[in-house]
Amino acid sequence: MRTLTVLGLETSCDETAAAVVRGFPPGPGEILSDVVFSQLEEHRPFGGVVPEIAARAHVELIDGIVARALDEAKLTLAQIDAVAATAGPGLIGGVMVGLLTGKALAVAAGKPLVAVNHLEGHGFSARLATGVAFPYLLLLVSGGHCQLLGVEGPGRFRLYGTTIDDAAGEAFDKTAKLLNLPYPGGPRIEILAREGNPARYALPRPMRGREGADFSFSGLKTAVRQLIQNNAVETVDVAASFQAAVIDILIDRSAAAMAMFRRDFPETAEPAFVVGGGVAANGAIRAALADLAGQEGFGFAVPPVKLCTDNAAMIAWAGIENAALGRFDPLDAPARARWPLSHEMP
Amino acid sequence: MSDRILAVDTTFGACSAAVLEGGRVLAHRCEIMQRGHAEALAPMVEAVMAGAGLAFADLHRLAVTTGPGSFTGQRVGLAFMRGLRVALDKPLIGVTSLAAMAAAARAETGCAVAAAVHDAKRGEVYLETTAGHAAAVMSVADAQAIVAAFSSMALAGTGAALMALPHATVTNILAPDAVWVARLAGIAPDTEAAPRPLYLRPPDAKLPAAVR
Repeated sequence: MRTLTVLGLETSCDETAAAVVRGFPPGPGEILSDVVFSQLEEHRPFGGVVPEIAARAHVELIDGIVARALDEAKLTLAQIDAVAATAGPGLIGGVMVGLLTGKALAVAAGKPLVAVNHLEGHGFSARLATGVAFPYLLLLVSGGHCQLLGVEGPGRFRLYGTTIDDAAGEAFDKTAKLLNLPYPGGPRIEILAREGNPARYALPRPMRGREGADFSFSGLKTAVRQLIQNNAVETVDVAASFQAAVIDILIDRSAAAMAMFRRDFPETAEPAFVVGGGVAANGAIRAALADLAGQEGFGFAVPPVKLCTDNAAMIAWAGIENAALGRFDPLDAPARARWPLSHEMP
Repeated sequence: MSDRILAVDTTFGACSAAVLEGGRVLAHRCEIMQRGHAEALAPMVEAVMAGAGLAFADLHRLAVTTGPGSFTGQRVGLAFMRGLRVALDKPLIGVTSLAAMAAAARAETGCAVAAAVHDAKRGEVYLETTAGHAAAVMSVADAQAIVAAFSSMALAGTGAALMALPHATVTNILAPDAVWVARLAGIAPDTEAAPRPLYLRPPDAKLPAAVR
Protein backbone atom coordinates (compact mmCIF):
# COMPACT_ATOMS: atom_id res chain seq x y z
CA MET A 1 0.00 0.00 0.00
CA ARG A 2 1.22 3.45 -0.89
CA THR A 3 2.19 5.66 2.05
CA LEU A 4 3.63 9.13 2.47
CA THR A 5 5.82 10.33 5.34
CA VAL A 6 5.53 14.04 6.04
CA LEU A 7 7.18 16.38 8.54
CA GLY A 8 4.77 19.03 9.86
CA LEU A 9 5.52 22.37 11.54
CA GLU A 10 3.05 24.50 13.51
CA THR A 11 3.77 28.02 14.86
CA SER A 12 0.58 29.99 14.24
CA CYS A 13 -0.29 30.84 17.85
CA ASP A 14 1.41 29.99 21.14
CA GLU A 15 2.37 26.37 20.49
CA THR A 16 5.70 25.58 18.83
CA ALA A 17 5.32 22.11 17.35
CA ALA A 18 6.76 19.59 14.90
CA ALA A 19 5.61 16.07 14.07
CA VAL A 20 6.22 13.25 11.63
CA VAL A 21 3.18 11.38 10.30
CA ARG A 22 2.97 8.44 7.90
CA GLY A 23 -0.07 7.32 5.97
CA PHE A 24 -2.31 7.90 2.99
CA PRO A 25 -5.81 9.29 2.52
CA PRO A 26 -8.41 8.58 3.78
CA GLY A 27 -6.36 7.60 6.82
CA PRO A 28 -6.01 6.78 9.60
CA GLY A 29 -2.38 7.85 9.79
CA GLU A 30 0.44 6.76 12.04
CA ILE A 31 1.95 9.49 14.20
CA LEU A 32 5.66 8.67 14.37
CA SER A 33 6.47 11.68 16.56
CA ASP A 34 4.54 14.65 17.90
CA VAL A 35 6.49 17.32 19.79
CA VAL A 36 4.61 20.30 21.19
CA PHE A 37 6.06 23.09 23.30
CA SER A 38 3.42 25.32 24.86
CA GLN A 39 4.44 28.93 25.52
CA LEU A 40 1.76 29.22 28.20
CA GLU A 41 4.19 30.51 30.84
CA GLU A 42 5.59 33.21 28.53
CA HIS A 43 2.12 34.71 27.99
CA ARG A 44 0.49 34.06 31.36
CA PRO A 45 1.51 37.44 32.91
CA PHE A 46 -0.28 39.24 30.07
CA GLY A 47 -3.52 37.28 30.37
CA GLY A 48 -3.41 36.37 26.69
CA VAL A 49 -1.10 35.62 23.80
CA VAL A 50 1.22 38.54 22.92
CA PRO A 51 2.13 38.21 19.21
CA GLU A 52 5.69 39.60 19.43
CA ILE A 53 6.53 37.46 22.46
CA ALA A 54 5.15 34.40 20.67
CA ALA A 55 7.20 35.11 17.54
CA ARG A 56 10.37 35.60 19.62
CA ALA A 57 9.85 32.24 21.31
CA HIS A 58 9.04 30.39 18.06
CA VAL A 59 12.30 31.41 16.36
CA GLU A 60 14.37 30.19 19.32
CA LEU A 61 12.51 26.88 19.59
CA ILE A 62 11.31 25.54 16.26
CA ASP A 63 14.62 24.26 14.86
CA GLY A 64 15.36 22.23 18.00
CA ILE A 65 11.81 20.87 18.04
CA VAL A 66 12.12 19.80 14.39
CA ALA A 67 15.36 17.98 15.20
CA ARG A 68 13.64 16.23 18.12
CA ALA A 69 10.62 15.24 16.03
CA LEU A 70 12.89 13.64 13.40
CA ASP A 71 14.92 11.99 16.14
CA GLU A 72 11.89 10.51 17.88
CA ALA A 73 10.57 9.25 14.54
CA LYS A 74 14.03 7.71 13.95
CA LEU A 75 14.12 9.29 10.50
CA THR A 76 16.35 11.72 8.65
CA LEU A 77 15.09 14.49 6.38
CA ALA A 78 16.18 12.38 3.40
CA GLN A 79 13.57 9.77 4.40
CA ILE A 80 10.71 12.31 4.45
CA ASP A 81 8.50 12.71 1.36
CA ALA A 82 7.50 16.34 1.94
CA VAL A 83 7.67 19.20 4.43
CA ALA A 84 4.36 20.75 5.55
CA ALA A 85 4.29 24.03 7.45
CA THR A 86 1.38 26.14 8.64
CA ALA A 87 1.25 29.20 6.37
CA GLY A 88 -1.78 30.78 8.06
CA PRO A 89 -4.18 31.89 9.31
CA GLY A 90 -2.67 33.00 12.58
CA LEU A 91 -0.30 35.46 14.23
CA ILE A 92 1.77 36.49 11.24
CA GLY A 93 5.14 36.79 13.02
CA GLY A 94 4.92 33.23 14.26
CA VAL A 95 3.52 31.86 11.00
CA MET A 96 6.51 33.35 9.14
CA VAL A 97 8.98 31.62 11.48
CA GLY A 98 7.49 28.16 10.93
CA LEU A 99 6.98 28.65 7.21
CA LEU A 100 10.54 29.94 6.65
CA THR A 101 11.93 27.04 8.68
CA GLY A 102 9.86 24.66 6.58
CA LYS A 103 11.06 26.25 3.34
CA ALA A 104 14.68 25.87 4.48
CA LEU A 105 14.19 22.19 5.32
CA ALA A 106 12.47 21.58 1.98
CA VAL A 107 15.06 23.38 -0.13
CA ALA A 108 18.01 21.83 1.74
CA ALA A 109 16.65 18.30 1.48
CA GLY A 110 15.27 18.71 -2.04
CA LYS A 111 11.74 17.86 -0.86
CA PRO A 112 8.47 19.47 -1.89
CA LEU A 113 6.77 22.02 0.38
CA VAL A 114 3.12 22.11 1.40
CA ALA A 115 2.03 25.50 2.79
CA VAL A 116 -0.79 24.29 5.01
CA ASN A 117 -3.94 26.16 5.97
CA HIS A 118 -4.10 25.68 9.75
CA LEU A 119 -7.89 25.33 9.54
CA GLU A 120 -7.51 22.52 7.03
CA GLY A 121 -5.26 20.88 9.62
CA HIS A 122 -8.06 20.98 12.19
CA GLY A 123 -10.60 19.99 9.57
CA PHE A 124 -8.76 16.82 8.49
CA SER A 125 -7.56 15.69 11.93
CA ALA A 126 -10.48 13.25 12.23
CA ARG A 127 -9.20 11.51 9.08
CA LEU A 128 -5.77 11.23 10.67
CA ALA A 129 -7.41 9.70 13.75
CA THR A 130 -10.06 7.43 12.24
CA GLY A 131 -10.03 7.68 8.44
CA VAL A 132 -13.45 9.35 7.91
CA ALA A 133 -14.50 9.41 4.23
CA PHE A 134 -15.22 12.63 2.30
CA PRO A 135 -17.65 14.33 2.15
CA TYR A 136 -18.47 15.12 5.79
CA LEU A 137 -19.90 17.93 7.83
CA LEU A 138 -17.32 19.73 9.94
CA LEU A 139 -17.88 21.90 13.00
CA LEU A 140 -14.65 23.81 13.59
CA VAL A 141 -14.69 25.38 17.05
CA SER A 142 -11.59 27.02 18.48
CA GLY A 143 -10.39 30.22 20.11
CA GLY A 144 -10.23 31.92 16.73
CA HIS A 145 -12.89 30.18 14.67
CA CYS A 146 -16.43 28.87 14.73
CA GLN A 147 -17.56 27.46 11.40
CA LEU A 148 -19.73 24.76 9.89
CA LEU A 149 -18.36 23.41 6.63
CA GLY A 150 -19.09 20.72 4.10
CA VAL A 151 -15.70 19.09 3.45
CA GLU A 152 -15.06 17.41 0.12
CA GLY A 153 -11.26 17.38 0.10
CA PRO A 154 -8.18 19.60 0.26
CA GLY A 155 -9.18 23.08 -0.86
CA ARG A 156 -12.82 22.00 -1.29
CA PHE A 157 -15.08 23.38 1.41
CA ARG A 158 -18.67 24.66 1.47
CA LEU A 159 -19.26 27.26 4.13
CA TYR A 160 -22.64 26.68 5.82
CA GLY A 161 -22.19 28.96 8.78
CA THR A 162 -19.63 31.10 10.55
CA THR A 163 -19.55 33.38 13.56
CA ILE A 164 -20.55 36.95 12.89
CA ASP A 165 -18.57 38.18 15.92
CA ASP A 166 -16.66 36.16 18.55
CA ALA A 167 -15.47 32.57 18.24
CA ALA A 168 -16.84 30.02 20.70
CA GLY A 169 -13.46 29.53 22.35
CA GLU A 170 -13.11 33.29 22.70
CA ALA A 171 -16.45 33.37 24.56
CA PHE A 172 -15.13 30.68 26.91
CA ASP A 173 -11.91 32.58 27.59
CA LYS A 174 -13.69 35.91 28.10
CA THR A 175 -16.23 34.38 30.45
CA ALA A 176 -13.39 32.80 32.41
CA LYS A 177 -11.70 36.21 32.66
CA LEU A 178 -14.93 37.78 33.96
CA LEU A 179 -15.04 35.02 36.58
CA ASN A 180 -11.44 35.80 37.57
CA LEU A 181 -10.29 32.33 36.59
CA PRO A 182 -6.54 32.02 35.94
CA TYR A 183 -5.37 32.16 32.31
CA PRO A 184 -6.14 30.23 30.17
CA GLY A 185 -9.61 30.01 31.58
CA GLY A 186 -11.63 28.23 28.88
CA PRO A 187 -10.84 24.67 29.98
CA ARG A 188 -11.56 25.59 33.62
CA ILE A 189 -15.14 26.52 32.77
CA GLU A 190 -15.87 22.90 31.92
CA ILE A 191 -14.46 21.69 35.23
CA LEU A 192 -16.47 24.23 37.25
CA ALA A 193 -19.62 23.62 35.21
CA ARG A 194 -19.73 20.02 36.45
CA GLU A 195 -20.45 21.32 39.95
CA GLY A 196 -22.94 23.99 38.90
CA ASN A 197 -26.61 24.30 38.04
CA PRO A 198 -27.03 25.06 34.32
CA ALA A 199 -30.58 26.36 34.88
CA ARG A 200 -29.62 28.84 37.62
CA TYR A 201 -29.11 31.86 35.34
CA ALA A 202 -31.08 32.66 32.22
CA LEU A 203 -28.62 33.52 29.43
CA PRO A 204 -29.45 34.28 25.78
CA ARG A 205 -28.93 31.87 22.87
CA PRO A 206 -28.21 34.31 19.99
CA MET A 207 -29.16 33.24 16.43
CA ARG A 208 -31.00 30.15 17.63
CA GLY A 209 -33.71 29.19 15.18
CA ARG A 210 -32.54 31.74 12.60
CA GLU A 211 -32.28 30.88 8.94
CA GLY A 212 -28.83 29.66 7.89
CA ALA A 213 -26.23 28.29 10.27
CA ASP A 214 -24.32 31.38 11.41
CA PHE A 215 -23.23 31.90 15.01
CA SER A 216 -23.03 34.86 17.36
CA PHE A 217 -21.48 34.82 20.82
CA SER A 218 -20.92 38.46 21.71
CA GLY A 219 -24.45 38.90 23.12
CA LEU A 220 -23.92 35.91 25.37
CA LYS A 221 -20.62 37.34 26.57
CA THR A 222 -22.29 40.71 27.31
CA ALA A 223 -25.08 38.99 29.22
CA VAL A 224 -22.51 37.14 31.34
CA ARG A 225 -20.70 40.41 32.07
CA GLN A 226 -23.90 42.15 33.15
CA LEU A 227 -24.90 39.16 35.25
CA ILE A 228 -21.57 39.15 37.08
CA GLN A 229 -21.36 42.93 37.49
CA ASN A 230 -24.89 43.37 38.81
CA ASN A 231 -25.24 40.33 41.03
CA ALA A 232 -23.42 38.33 43.65
CA VAL A 233 -23.12 35.19 41.56
CA GLU A 234 -22.18 31.61 42.24
CA THR A 235 -19.17 30.92 40.00
CA VAL A 236 -19.98 27.27 39.33
CA ASP A 237 -23.56 28.14 38.35
CA VAL A 238 -22.39 30.89 35.96
CA ALA A 239 -19.97 28.40 34.39
CA ALA A 240 -22.70 25.77 34.03
CA SER A 241 -25.31 28.22 32.71
CA PHE A 242 -22.84 29.71 30.22
CA GLN A 243 -21.69 26.31 28.96
CA ALA A 244 -25.30 25.16 28.59
CA ALA A 245 -26.03 28.24 26.45
CA VAL A 246 -23.01 27.55 24.23
CA ILE A 247 -24.08 23.93 23.83
CA ASP A 248 -27.63 24.96 22.86
CA ILE A 249 -26.25 27.35 20.24
CA LEU A 250 -23.85 24.76 18.80
CA ILE A 251 -26.61 22.12 18.68
CA ASP A 252 -29.13 24.40 16.99
CA ARG A 253 -26.70 25.68 14.36
CA SER A 254 -25.20 22.23 13.72
CA ALA A 255 -28.70 20.79 13.19
CA ALA A 256 -29.38 23.54 10.63
CA ALA A 257 -26.11 22.76 8.84
CA MET A 258 -26.95 19.04 8.81
CA ALA A 259 -30.07 19.83 6.79
CA MET A 260 -28.00 21.91 4.36
CA PHE A 261 -25.44 19.10 4.05
CA ARG A 262 -28.20 16.55 3.33
CA ARG A 263 -29.51 18.82 0.58
CA ASP A 264 -26.03 19.20 -0.99
CA PHE A 265 -25.00 15.55 -0.64
CA PRO A 266 -28.20 13.47 -0.87
CA GLU A 267 -26.28 10.44 -2.12
CA THR A 268 -24.15 10.21 1.05
CA ALA A 269 -26.13 7.60 2.97
CA GLU A 270 -24.64 7.89 6.45
CA PRO A 271 -22.55 11.04 6.45
CA ALA A 272 -20.16 11.85 9.28
CA PHE A 273 -20.38 14.85 11.58
CA VAL A 274 -16.82 15.78 12.53
CA VAL A 275 -15.84 18.21 15.27
CA GLY A 276 -12.40 19.82 15.34
CA GLY A 277 -10.59 22.65 17.11
CA GLY A 278 -9.66 23.36 20.70
CA VAL A 279 -13.25 23.67 21.98
CA ALA A 280 -13.82 20.06 20.86
CA ALA A 281 -11.66 19.12 23.83
CA ASN A 282 -14.66 20.06 26.04
CA GLY A 283 -16.28 16.78 27.12
CA ALA A 284 -19.77 18.21 27.68
CA ILE A 285 -19.80 19.73 24.20
CA ARG A 286 -18.55 16.50 22.64
CA ALA A 287 -21.27 14.50 24.38
CA ALA A 288 -24.06 16.86 23.33
CA LEU A 289 -22.87 16.93 19.71
CA ALA A 290 -22.58 13.14 19.65
CA ASP A 291 -26.21 12.91 20.79
CA LEU A 292 -27.28 15.30 18.04
CA ALA A 293 -25.40 13.28 15.42
CA GLY A 294 -27.15 10.10 16.62
CA GLN A 295 -30.60 11.73 16.43
CA GLU A 296 -29.98 13.10 12.94
CA GLY A 297 -28.54 9.89 11.49
CA PHE A 298 -25.00 11.19 11.19
CA GLY A 299 -21.92 9.23 12.19
CA PHE A 300 -19.90 11.11 14.80
CA ALA A 301 -16.13 11.59 14.74
CA VAL A 302 -14.06 13.72 17.03
CA PRO A 303 -10.28 13.39 17.21
CA PRO A 304 -8.57 12.66 20.52
CA VAL A 305 -8.08 15.75 22.70
CA LYS A 306 -4.38 16.00 21.82
CA LEU A 307 -5.32 16.39 18.15
CA CYS A 308 -8.03 18.98 18.90
CA THR A 309 -5.72 21.62 20.33
CA ASP A 310 -2.99 23.11 18.13
CA ASN A 311 -0.45 20.46 17.13
CA ALA A 312 1.84 19.63 14.24
CA ALA A 313 0.59 16.08 13.60
CA MET A 314 -2.55 17.53 12.01
CA ILE A 315 -0.39 19.83 9.88
CA ALA A 316 1.70 16.88 8.73
CA TRP A 317 -1.53 14.99 7.92
CA ALA A 318 -2.92 17.95 5.95
CA GLY A 319 0.42 17.80 4.13
CA ILE A 320 -0.24 14.13 3.31
CA GLU A 321 -3.78 14.94 2.07
CA ASN A 322 -2.41 17.61 -0.28
CA ALA A 323 0.70 15.70 -1.33
CA ALA A 324 -1.42 12.67 -2.27
CA LEU A 325 -3.15 14.89 -4.84
CA GLY A 326 0.13 16.42 -6.02
CA ARG A 327 -0.81 19.75 -4.41
CA PHE A 328 2.50 21.40 -3.49
CA ASP A 329 3.49 25.03 -3.02
CA PRO A 330 6.32 27.12 -4.45
CA LEU A 331 9.17 28.43 -2.27
CA ASP A 332 7.73 31.95 -2.44
CA ALA A 333 4.48 30.85 -0.77
CA PRO A 334 3.29 33.70 1.46
CA ALA A 335 2.53 33.64 5.17
CA ARG A 336 -1.07 34.80 5.68
CA ALA A 337 -2.67 36.34 8.76
CA ARG A 338 -6.11 35.63 7.22
CA TRP A 339 -6.87 32.66 5.06
CA PRO A 340 -10.48 31.50 4.96
CA LEU A 341 -11.27 27.96 3.84
CA SER A 342 -12.98 28.23 0.52
CA HIS A 343 -14.37 26.21 -2.31
CA GLU A 344 -11.85 26.33 -5.12
CA MET A 345 -13.11 26.31 -8.67
CA PRO A 346 -12.14 23.07 -10.41
CA MET B 1 40.85 30.15 3.15
CA SER B 2 38.82 28.34 0.51
CA ASP B 3 35.69 27.99 2.65
CA ARG B 4 32.44 28.09 0.75
CA ILE B 5 29.89 30.24 2.57
CA LEU B 6 26.20 30.93 1.95
CA ALA B 7 25.04 34.18 3.57
CA VAL B 8 21.72 36.00 3.66
CA ASP B 9 20.30 39.22 5.06
CA THR B 10 16.68 40.30 5.59
CA THR B 11 17.02 42.72 8.51
CA PHE B 12 16.30 46.09 6.86
CA GLY B 13 14.98 47.42 3.57
CA ALA B 14 16.63 44.83 1.34
CA CYS B 15 16.82 41.09 0.82
CA SER B 16 20.13 39.59 -0.27
CA ALA B 17 21.87 36.25 -0.61
CA ALA B 18 25.42 35.41 -1.66
CA VAL B 19 27.74 32.45 -2.07
CA LEU B 20 31.45 33.10 -1.56
CA GLU B 21 34.44 30.82 -1.94
CA GLY B 22 37.63 31.91 -0.23
CA GLY B 23 36.38 35.50 -0.23
CA ARG B 24 35.50 35.41 -3.94
CA VAL B 25 31.85 36.02 -4.87
CA LEU B 26 30.45 33.06 -6.81
CA ALA B 27 26.85 34.27 -6.89
CA HIS B 28 25.01 37.25 -5.49
CA ARG B 29 21.46 38.61 -5.48
CA CYS B 30 20.15 41.73 -3.78
CA GLU B 31 16.72 43.33 -4.02
CA ILE B 32 15.56 46.51 -2.34
CA MET B 33 12.28 45.81 -0.52
CA GLN B 34 10.46 47.14 2.51
CA ARG B 35 8.28 44.03 2.75
CA GLY B 36 8.10 40.64 1.12
CA HIS B 37 11.31 39.17 2.55
CA ALA B 38 9.46 36.03 3.68
CA GLU B 39 8.39 35.33 0.10
CA ALA B 40 11.63 36.39 -1.62
CA LEU B 41 14.28 34.71 0.53
CA ALA B 42 13.95 31.00 -0.26
CA PRO B 43 13.81 31.40 -4.08
CA MET B 44 16.75 33.82 -3.84
CA VAL B 45 18.83 31.27 -1.94
CA GLU B 46 17.92 28.61 -4.48
CA ALA B 47 18.99 31.01 -7.25
CA VAL B 48 22.41 31.85 -5.76
CA MET B 49 23.14 28.18 -5.11
CA ALA B 50 22.28 27.39 -8.73
CA GLY B 51 24.28 30.43 -9.88
CA ALA B 52 27.30 29.24 -7.92
CA GLY B 53 26.84 25.75 -9.35
CA LEU B 54 26.90 24.26 -5.86
CA ALA B 55 24.82 21.77 -3.92
CA PHE B 56 24.05 22.55 -0.28
CA ALA B 57 26.35 19.70 0.73
CA ASP B 58 29.27 21.60 -0.86
CA LEU B 59 29.00 24.45 1.65
CA HIS B 60 31.27 24.72 4.67
CA ARG B 61 29.52 27.49 6.51
CA LEU B 62 26.28 29.41 6.72
CA ALA B 63 25.94 33.05 7.77
CA VAL B 64 23.06 35.33 8.67
CA THR B 65 22.47 38.79 10.11
CA THR B 66 21.08 38.56 13.64
CA GLY B 67 19.88 42.17 13.92
CA PRO B 68 19.20 44.83 14.81
CA GLY B 69 16.48 45.31 12.21
CA SER B 70 12.76 45.00 11.81
CA PHE B 71 11.75 42.29 14.28
CA THR B 72 9.99 40.36 11.54
CA GLY B 73 12.88 40.73 9.11
CA GLN B 74 15.35 39.47 11.68
CA ARG B 75 13.29 36.34 12.22
CA VAL B 76 12.77 35.65 8.51
CA GLY B 77 16.51 35.31 7.97
CA LEU B 78 17.21 33.52 11.23
CA ALA B 79 14.33 31.05 10.96
CA PHE B 80 15.40 30.13 7.43
CA MET B 81 19.11 29.82 8.17
CA ARG B 82 18.56 27.98 11.45
CA GLY B 83 16.41 25.57 9.43
CA LEU B 84 19.25 25.10 6.95
CA ARG B 85 21.66 24.58 9.84
CA VAL B 86 19.56 21.73 11.22
CA ALA B 87 19.01 20.20 7.78
CA LEU B 88 22.67 20.40 6.68
CA ASP B 89 24.48 20.09 10.00
CA LYS B 90 26.79 22.98 9.08
CA PRO B 91 27.97 25.79 11.38
CA LEU B 92 25.84 28.96 11.20
CA ILE B 93 27.59 32.23 12.01
CA GLY B 94 25.66 35.29 13.18
CA VAL B 95 26.81 38.78 12.18
CA THR B 96 25.12 42.02 13.20
CA SER B 97 23.39 43.97 10.45
CA LEU B 98 25.31 47.11 11.45
CA ALA B 99 28.70 45.36 11.35
CA ALA B 100 28.02 44.23 7.78
CA MET B 101 26.99 47.77 6.77
CA ALA B 102 29.98 49.41 8.49
CA ALA B 103 32.42 46.93 6.91
CA ALA B 104 30.97 47.67 3.48
CA ALA B 105 31.18 51.44 4.08
CA ARG B 106 34.80 51.22 5.18
CA ALA B 107 35.77 49.17 2.15
CA GLU B 108 33.89 51.46 -0.23
CA THR B 109 35.45 54.69 1.09
CA GLY B 110 38.88 53.59 2.22
CA CYS B 111 38.29 55.32 5.55
CA ALA B 112 40.06 53.83 8.59
CA VAL B 113 36.86 53.80 10.64
CA ALA B 114 33.20 53.40 9.76
CA ALA B 115 29.95 53.59 11.66
CA ALA B 116 26.55 52.19 10.76
CA VAL B 117 23.73 54.33 12.11
CA HIS B 118 20.13 53.26 11.59
CA ASP B 119 17.31 55.69 12.28
CA ALA B 120 15.29 53.74 14.85
CA LYS B 121 12.67 56.56 15.16
CA ARG B 122 11.42 57.93 18.50
CA GLY B 123 14.59 60.09 18.67
CA GLU B 124 16.87 57.04 18.79
CA VAL B 125 19.34 55.29 16.52
CA TYR B 126 20.98 51.87 16.39
CA LEU B 127 24.75 52.39 16.19
CA GLU B 128 27.83 50.22 15.73
CA THR B 129 31.35 51.23 14.67
CA THR B 130 34.33 49.33 13.34
CA ALA B 131 36.28 50.90 16.23
CA GLY B 132 34.78 48.78 18.97
CA HIS B 133 31.34 50.25 19.69
CA ALA B 134 29.05 47.21 19.76
CA ALA B 135 25.53 47.45 18.35
CA ALA B 136 23.33 49.46 20.72
CA VAL B 137 20.25 51.65 20.75
CA MET B 138 20.87 55.21 21.93
CA SER B 139 19.65 58.78 21.63
CA VAL B 140 20.68 60.76 18.55
CA ALA B 141 22.74 63.04 20.83
CA ASP B 142 24.69 60.12 22.33
CA ALA B 143 25.38 58.77 18.86
CA GLN B 144 26.57 62.19 17.69
CA ALA B 145 28.98 62.32 20.64
CA ILE B 146 30.46 58.94 19.70
CA VAL B 147 31.06 59.72 16.05
CA ALA B 148 32.34 63.28 16.80
CA ALA B 149 35.39 61.72 18.47
CA PHE B 150 36.70 60.57 15.08
CA SER B 151 38.57 62.95 12.82
CA SER B 152 37.35 61.12 9.71
CA MET B 153 34.99 58.25 9.19
CA ALA B 154 32.61 56.58 6.76
CA LEU B 155 28.92 56.47 7.58
CA ALA B 156 26.24 53.99 6.50
CA GLY B 157 22.60 53.62 7.38
CA THR B 158 19.35 55.59 7.34
CA GLY B 159 20.53 57.54 10.41
CA ALA B 160 23.79 58.78 8.82
CA ALA B 161 22.28 62.19 8.02
CA LEU B 162 21.25 62.62 11.66
CA MET B 163 24.92 62.56 12.68
CA ALA B 164 25.52 66.06 11.14
CA LEU B 165 29.22 65.30 10.85
CA PRO B 166 31.10 67.66 8.48
CA HIS B 167 34.18 65.46 8.18
CA ALA B 168 32.32 62.20 7.53
CA THR B 169 32.04 60.41 4.20
CA VAL B 170 28.40 59.45 3.91
CA THR B 171 27.77 56.37 1.77
CA ASN B 172 24.43 55.34 0.26
CA ILE B 173 24.55 51.99 2.09
CA LEU B 174 21.19 51.66 3.86
CA ALA B 175 21.03 47.91 4.46
CA PRO B 176 23.51 45.04 4.80
CA ASP B 177 24.60 43.07 1.78
CA ALA B 178 24.99 39.31 2.11
CA VAL B 179 28.45 39.55 0.50
CA TRP B 180 29.71 41.41 3.55
CA VAL B 181 27.82 39.13 5.89
CA ALA B 182 29.74 36.24 4.32
CA ARG B 183 33.07 38.07 4.53
CA LEU B 184 32.65 38.84 8.23
CA ALA B 185 31.45 35.30 8.92
CA GLY B 186 34.48 33.96 7.06
CA ILE B 187 36.83 35.44 9.62
CA ALA B 188 34.67 34.64 12.66
CA PRO B 189 35.48 31.66 14.89
CA ASP B 190 33.40 28.50 14.46
CA THR B 191 30.47 28.13 16.77
CA GLU B 192 28.41 25.15 17.88
CA ALA B 193 25.34 27.04 19.02
CA ALA B 194 22.77 28.59 16.72
CA PRO B 195 22.90 32.41 16.62
CA ARG B 196 20.01 34.20 18.28
CA PRO B 197 18.21 37.36 17.18
CA LEU B 198 19.72 40.58 18.50
CA TYR B 199 16.76 42.73 19.54
CA LEU B 200 17.70 46.19 20.74
CA ARG B 201 14.17 46.90 21.92
CA PRO B 202 11.75 44.88 24.06
CA PRO B 203 8.45 43.62 22.61
CA ASP B 204 5.57 46.09 22.57
CA ALA B 205 3.62 44.35 25.28
CA LYS B 206 2.14 45.89 28.37
CA LEU B 207 1.13 44.03 31.46
CA PRO B 208 -2.59 44.42 32.08
CA ALA B 209 -3.38 47.52 34.15
CA ALA B 210 -5.11 45.49 36.83
CA VAL B 211 -2.61 42.70 37.36
CA ARG B 212 -3.91 40.30 39.92
